[in-house]
Amino acid sequence: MCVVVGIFFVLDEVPLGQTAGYEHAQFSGIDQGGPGLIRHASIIWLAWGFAVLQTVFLIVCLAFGVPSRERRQRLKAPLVIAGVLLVCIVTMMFVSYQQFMTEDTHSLFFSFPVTTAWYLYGFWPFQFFFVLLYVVVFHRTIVTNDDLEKFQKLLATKTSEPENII
Amino acid sequence: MGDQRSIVVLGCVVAYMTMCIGVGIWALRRTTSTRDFFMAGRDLGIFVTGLAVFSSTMSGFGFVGGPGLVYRMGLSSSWMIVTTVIGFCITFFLLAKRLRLIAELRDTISLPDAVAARYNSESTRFLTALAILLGVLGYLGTQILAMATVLHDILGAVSFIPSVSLTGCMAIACAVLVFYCVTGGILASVYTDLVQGAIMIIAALLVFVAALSAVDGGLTGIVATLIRDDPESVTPWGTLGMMGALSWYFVFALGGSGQPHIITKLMMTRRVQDARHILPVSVVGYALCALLWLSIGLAIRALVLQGIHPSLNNPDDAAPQFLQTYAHPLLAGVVFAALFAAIMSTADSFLNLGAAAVVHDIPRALRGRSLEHELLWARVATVVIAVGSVFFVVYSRQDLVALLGTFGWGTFAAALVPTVTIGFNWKRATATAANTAIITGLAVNFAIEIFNVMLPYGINGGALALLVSLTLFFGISLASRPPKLDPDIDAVMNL
Repeated sequence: MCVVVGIFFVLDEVPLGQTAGYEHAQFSGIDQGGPGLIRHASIIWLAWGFAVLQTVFLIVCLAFGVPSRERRQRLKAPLVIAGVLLVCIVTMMFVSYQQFMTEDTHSLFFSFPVTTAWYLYGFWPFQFFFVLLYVVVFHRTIVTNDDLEKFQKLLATKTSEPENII
Repeated sequence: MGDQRSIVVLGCVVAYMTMCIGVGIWALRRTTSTRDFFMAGRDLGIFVTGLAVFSSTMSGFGFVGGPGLVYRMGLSSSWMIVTTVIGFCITFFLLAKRLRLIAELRDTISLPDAVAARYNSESTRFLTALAILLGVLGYLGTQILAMATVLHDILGAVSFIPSVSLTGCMAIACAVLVFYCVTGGILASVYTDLVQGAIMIIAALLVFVAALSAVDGGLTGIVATLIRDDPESVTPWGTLGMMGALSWYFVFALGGSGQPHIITKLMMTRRVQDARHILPVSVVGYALCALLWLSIGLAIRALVLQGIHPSLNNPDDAAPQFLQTYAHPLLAGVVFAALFAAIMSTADSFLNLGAAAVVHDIPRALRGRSLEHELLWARVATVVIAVGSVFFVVYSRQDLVALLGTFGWGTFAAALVPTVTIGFNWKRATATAANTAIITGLAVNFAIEIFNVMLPYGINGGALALLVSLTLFFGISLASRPPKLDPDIDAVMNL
């Protein structure tokens, strides 16, 4: 990710200073993005790389929260499958955006352009899978009965230590 | 605003503030120790914690700044809310268990306490407390200013109420906030958060419907108007562009787990197992509130572009103007109350964190023990920090207040994600790496804002700071000798 972000620092910004939008000529407080083809065509796949790396990093972070290798193994399949699907959705956002940049009339899917539909109806709700996963596997992998027993023992040892007796 | 409409709105806001004062009085009798004051006696239930977590996350920025950003940039800022789902998951997967267990094992009453226990380092405790205090000052200043501005508008619209200055409104808003925070501490804070969260969800759902029906053709009509003016505004990247939006993805998805006002609440739950149900409550609540953020911003942008509504000089007026013009008076009243709720639910958490940093964490780091009569001093510190923030807002450079407020999230993310989120799950992490990450996170963020550094392609400064601090954290930890953890902390990290 550092390398990808670093590349953006050495790339020529086209058009200069307008890649992050500019003020609307008529309405105060509103920005415009301008033609996507001009500001995004040269960086679209680099940006895709950044998005994919981030997504993978976030999935790895989720796995990182599961303590032992043995338990992580149980989560491996659902996390890998979900990660691959999430990356596919992100990729579809970019692919459909590439088409969006070049077309004059834009087809809508449930009121939004297709690229935005992938984002709002795909990328957003798909993340709820991880919430569901947390709820489903909680007692088997996150906080097990064994964990609670070990912790109670640890707590008992700790409170019986002389320095902790007031 | 018509006078009748204004009276309804004022009535809702007064009723809400009275409720806050009532909760403060109720919580006063239940707050007898610093553990009660800062940690709610570690006895919070599932719904209370779940709603407190999401309502603290949403904040006044979400209800005022969020619609303003959509009005200005189209869908760019939606990355801040869309990615929060996975952000909450990271917070719960990585921290819910560890923080709660360490809090019980070491009887910690603040996040820096837990950090000091993990790293066995007073300097890390000090730097964590300092980062929190800096963020608190900025966040609190902007929250109090936001409350005062809204109250000023509401009072100004009622003809029979004599004119109240902005400073006067600041005093009124601050007095209510301080009252329930001083009397009931975090207990009052989380129970008001419970009501605040419920009001926010109801208001968001009603506003979503009102916003879609305010524009001819509903959502399709809104999007068609926006596409005619600037197709980019309704792409996932909005007007800010790809890299700007994607850097928000990074800083908001990962950065949530570094926000002290959110993660501290995970230390207050009754049982560690409750985290299983708290996560869905928080995520669903937040996702519903996000509807207000998106719908008002898109609707008001379309109405302005259609020439139906005059353009806004300040994008932050998007939500108040929409409510005053297009919402039913009662709905406007509920949403204005929700707006106060959103602001106060974050501000009260920050007051509590700031008080803990001043009376507990910094003294412990500097002289090895906290102040005597800690509960009394905590109450005094709460008043002093609130009053100090008001003076800060009134007398300092306005851009300094905005500066501290706007990049608060990024500051916390860059300073605390490596130290807390990664550090509590990776035994190899060292105190030196944590200290470096905190200092780097603060320095890079401040430097970018103070020197007004424009990053290429709209890359967010907070994201860059987070990337740098994470890289240094991993690099220094791997290059150092593995640290020796206290046996009990080592045992908890094995669980």
